[in-house]
Amino acid sequence: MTTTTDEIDEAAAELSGDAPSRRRRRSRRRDIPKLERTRLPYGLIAPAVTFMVLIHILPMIAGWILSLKRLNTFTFSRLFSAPWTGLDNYGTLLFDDDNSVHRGFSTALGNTVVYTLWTVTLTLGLGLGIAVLLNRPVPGQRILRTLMLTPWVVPSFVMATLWQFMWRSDVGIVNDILVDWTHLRDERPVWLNGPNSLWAIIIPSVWRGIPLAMLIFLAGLQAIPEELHEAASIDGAGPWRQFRYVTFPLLRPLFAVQLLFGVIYSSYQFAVPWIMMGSNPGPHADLLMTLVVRESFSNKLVGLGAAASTLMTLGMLVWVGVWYGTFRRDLEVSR
Amino acid sequence: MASITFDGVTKEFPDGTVAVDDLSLDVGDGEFTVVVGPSGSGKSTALRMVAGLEAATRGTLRIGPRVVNDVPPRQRDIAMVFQSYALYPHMTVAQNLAFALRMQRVPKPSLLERLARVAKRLAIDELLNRRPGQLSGGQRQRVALGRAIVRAPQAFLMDEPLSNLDAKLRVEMRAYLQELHRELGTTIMYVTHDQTEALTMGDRVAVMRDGRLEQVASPQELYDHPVNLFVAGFIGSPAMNILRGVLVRHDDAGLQFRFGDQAIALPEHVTKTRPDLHQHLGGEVLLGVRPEAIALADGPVPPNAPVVELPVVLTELLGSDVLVHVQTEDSTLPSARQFDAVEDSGMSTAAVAAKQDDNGHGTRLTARLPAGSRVAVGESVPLVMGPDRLHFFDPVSFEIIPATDT
Amino acid sequence: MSAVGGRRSTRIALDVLTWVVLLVMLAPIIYLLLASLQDNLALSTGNFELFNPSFDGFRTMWSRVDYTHFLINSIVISAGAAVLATAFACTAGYALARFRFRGARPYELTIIGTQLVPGSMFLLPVFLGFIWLGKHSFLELQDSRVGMVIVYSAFFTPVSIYLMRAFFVAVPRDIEDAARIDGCTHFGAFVRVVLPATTPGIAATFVYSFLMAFDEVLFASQLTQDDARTLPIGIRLFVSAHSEQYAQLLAAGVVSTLPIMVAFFATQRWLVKGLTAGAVKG
Repeated sequence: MTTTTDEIDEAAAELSGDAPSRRRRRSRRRDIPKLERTRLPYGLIAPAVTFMVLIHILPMIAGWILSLKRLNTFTFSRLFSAPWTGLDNYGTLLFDDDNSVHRGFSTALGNTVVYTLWTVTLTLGLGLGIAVLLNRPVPGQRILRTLMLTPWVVPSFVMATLWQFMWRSDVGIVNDILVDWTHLRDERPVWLNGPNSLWAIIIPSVWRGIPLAMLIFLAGLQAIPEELHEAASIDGAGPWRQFRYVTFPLLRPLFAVQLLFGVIYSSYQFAVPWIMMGSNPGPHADLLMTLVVRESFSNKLVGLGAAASTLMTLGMLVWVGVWYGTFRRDLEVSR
Repeated sequence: MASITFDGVTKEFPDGTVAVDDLSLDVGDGEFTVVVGPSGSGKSTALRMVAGLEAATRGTLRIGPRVVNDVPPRQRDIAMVFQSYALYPHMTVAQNLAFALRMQRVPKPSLLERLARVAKRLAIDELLNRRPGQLSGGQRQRVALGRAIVRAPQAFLMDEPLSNLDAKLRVEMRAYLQELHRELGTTIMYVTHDQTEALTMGDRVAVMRDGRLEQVASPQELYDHPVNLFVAGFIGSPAMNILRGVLVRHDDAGLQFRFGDQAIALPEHVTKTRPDLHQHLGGEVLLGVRPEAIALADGPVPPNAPVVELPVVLTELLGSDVLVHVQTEDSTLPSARQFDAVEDSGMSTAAVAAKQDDNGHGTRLTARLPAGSRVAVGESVPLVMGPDRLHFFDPVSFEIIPATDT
Repeated sequence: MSAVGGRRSTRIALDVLTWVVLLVMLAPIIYLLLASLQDNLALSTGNFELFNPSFDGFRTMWSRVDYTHFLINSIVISAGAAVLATAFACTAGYALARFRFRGARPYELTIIGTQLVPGSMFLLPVFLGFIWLGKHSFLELQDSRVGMVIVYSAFFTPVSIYLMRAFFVAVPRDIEDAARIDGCTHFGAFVRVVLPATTPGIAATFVYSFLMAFDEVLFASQLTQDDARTLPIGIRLFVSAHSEQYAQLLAAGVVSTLPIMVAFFATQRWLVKGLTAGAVKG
């Protein structure tokens, strides 16, 4: 019923005589340093680069090479002479229904996708909500904010251990609350294995991730000049419409960045399931990383493990591509 | 179109600061009223109360006949131009202009027509697809204006809209805004700290200080008949000269005003029309005279004319005029403390100096003379003051000692 | 957001909601504290003694687990890695903030790229590499603190570079130029003028790296055994071996959190500023 933004853009295009150019970028680079003729920058980055080569680059190349071999051992003599199998490992992982690792991989992939979806959505959504809540002029806002950060400060292994205890169906407090106190359930459900086990890792992850998301959103909210809200208020927008048309659009760049790294971090989650449920969390909670570590180190299937890691990297590159396509415009908005 | 009425409005903040103190002010329907005052005078707070961005602690606020104390901003049908423009950075110019109309669900044809019309009028139609970040200061200002105009509200509220522009542009925009007002006829409440803007643009000007209304009148009235020392020193540039001196009887030729080693004869009609002046006989009184009211006495002068003769210390050439500064022998430069007081109070140095007792020993005077007047630094020059343009202020209350006619 | 029109009841409701949310977020931690002060009997039956705290867990946890050893390993390794990572980040971050040099862009992209790859991709080869080095040279990196420090430094440098770069960009060029005119070399100006101006940033980066390293589980799980085992692995071993000793477990959890809490609250103002500054600008 109200005129849409697109209709306005069209009218604007006609009136102004331009094509409706989307985000016209005026590249205004401030502070362009002259191209350094000294070698100082190279010296400055040398230490970091060295370590990066040693621990990141070389191992990655070695990993690729390993993924092209058929290996099930750690013995070095065998390592170098193991047969080349080309892309067989990848094929096995992805398509070979008879292979147990393939089945494990599919299951873990499914679990990881579900885990990531829920964790990222809840973390960012609740983080944003709490940030909005804290952005009001409440007395003691600083203290509140610092206290809200505490879940993040608790080390992840302590948190995982604690929640493992809390999730126990016999003595854990979660079931105490569910069954004994609030009577939401009649029986004490099992959390640490079985169909609920994915939630047993989602919830602690969300709990631990909210503070950082909240902190970043809060900073973004406070960077919005109050006058924009005042102008919107005078223009006729109530609190909800102010949020939708003014606040959230201005938060989109931050949101995009958190989304990017949130998905990466969640997809590569290892600590929580490993500590809570051991090296095999079971078919409902096995994530890609627990699978890979198990197959590579416990079962010594080095080639398959490396192939799996490479596939994960490729998947992540796809994600980055998708993300970039979706959010590229937000990254270019200049204030 | 509506009037804006403040009726005993007070704004007290939780920490005890009283930003607006019992303000009663009428902005007539269709009038262009400027509220002027130094920073901290409460003028912005008063404006924000009309907008609904601050709630009044006491008193009644009306827009038109309607009491709006509890009405939220979006229902008041007013538009505001912020000092920083407050343009939505993530929207194009067109989207910025259209935003309020969309919020109010104005039907599309009407919306687009209004948008096109206002954009053309303000010469921003070529910028409609750009973002605020890509515009110059002047362009942004016009977009901010456009955003307000396109809504056709009952009243416009403007909070120092010109202060972020560079000086030349500001002068142009003053005229532009007045033109717009003539065209649109909408009520405008305009806040500024710049008294030049106030005098040139307002139908009426309200002078505020420390939350209180000092005087509200037409610009000419404020200039000719300020009611107290603050208004006298605030309005007019360069500021009115204020002399602290003693009022004595000078045989039967009337009264004399003595300061430093100078004695000014006061013509009879000046003293006759100010009955209250006689109460100060023998004591101190403050004399105010604008630089424009002082001329070079280089010809014959009537015998009882107020004349001084003082050495010139500085001349400032303004092109068509020259400002000539003279001072009595034992006068001192304004002290640093006085500058701080000037900053705090927004008053002129002269007024501040007069309020403090510092210039008991001497004074400076500034005269605005035509360029080419024969004055030289170091020489004494005779200056005559227009007798009808003298102002007398009580040395304690700083109120004007009124004259009975006009 | 506007002064007129917001109902008082809404505001009170939101205030209450804020405190409720805070309580929910802190609940697990409060539970941790309370539960660690119970003995095993109370924990297994769920009857908590709120007024009679029992320090059983705290006292006995040291006996079953070589806790001190793990704690020291964790602290030493994390601190060492944090120092190196911060140092590298200072120089590299400064280079990226101030200079435009060939290879800067590819370098930046590579840094971001390292975050896209799963840890297992590096872990396996590094593990194999350490073993090989142990057999064929004098370098005993497997199950050693030095090895862990090397690996962690490399790992946490990228994010540290990102953080420090934001801090350096915020320092006005003028003071560097002034120092160079006054006689410093470019590097000298960096050390004498820029670094002191970014001390909060350095502290924030250091604490952040320390937190990340202290927390790290994946690499520690495979690259350590008895000598260099860190706290997370030690706790996990304990959990699997003595799963009924709840009190000790929880007490260990509390004790493990303390160093982090201290580090965090001591530097939280800088840390928060650093994280948010980077986020909002970047």
